[in-house]
Amino acid sequence: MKKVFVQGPISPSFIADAIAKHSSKVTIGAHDIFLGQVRADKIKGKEVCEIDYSAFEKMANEAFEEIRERTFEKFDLSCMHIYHSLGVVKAGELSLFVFVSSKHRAIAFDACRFVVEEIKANVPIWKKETYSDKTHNWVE
Amino acid sequence: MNIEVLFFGGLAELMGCHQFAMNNCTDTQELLDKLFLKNPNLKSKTFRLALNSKLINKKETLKNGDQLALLPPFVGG
Repeated sequence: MKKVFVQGPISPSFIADAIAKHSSKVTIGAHDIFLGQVRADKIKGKEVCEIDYSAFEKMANEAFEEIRERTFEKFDLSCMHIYHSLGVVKAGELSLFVFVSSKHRAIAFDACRFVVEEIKANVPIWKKETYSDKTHNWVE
Repeated sequence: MNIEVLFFGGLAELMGCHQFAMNNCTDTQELLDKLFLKNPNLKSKTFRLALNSKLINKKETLKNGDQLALLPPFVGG
């Protein structure tokens, strides 16, 4: 099973390294990448400072594996990678990194969107937003 | 008979813990009814159930050692 969860934010250098690792895979003609970033939403005058991500990890890892299988069945991909944060991610930092690669762009675009929507709908992950005044709210 | 009950997200905060054990529940509905008595606020919450890490959509019989998880709406990403 591929490791998806990372503790804390996903760093831009980690993403750059992931891209660089694909330079040897010369059958790939198109990559598509989705990056989820924490927004400093204003809710009732209070600003979101950070999100604390938690998950039912056993079930989430199984769900990620099913998404991988469904995606490879549906799209002609060379490879795909998913990384999702657990724990605290501050506003402006990255919490989700989806990276798909194929021969041509149309497949990469479609597959990337499919993976992101599947994650949103089917993986048991929760978010606790903390505001500037240190109060918090569970996102639903 | 011992059933492990897990709470996640805002439900863990509501119940004041991430897990506890319950006894003498023949099915998931009986277990839920006991939880609602324990904390009536739970009744108004939206959640799904996973029995031994698999989502269930109807009442299921429980056996010793089962694990039942209460899952708030998923909001990953």
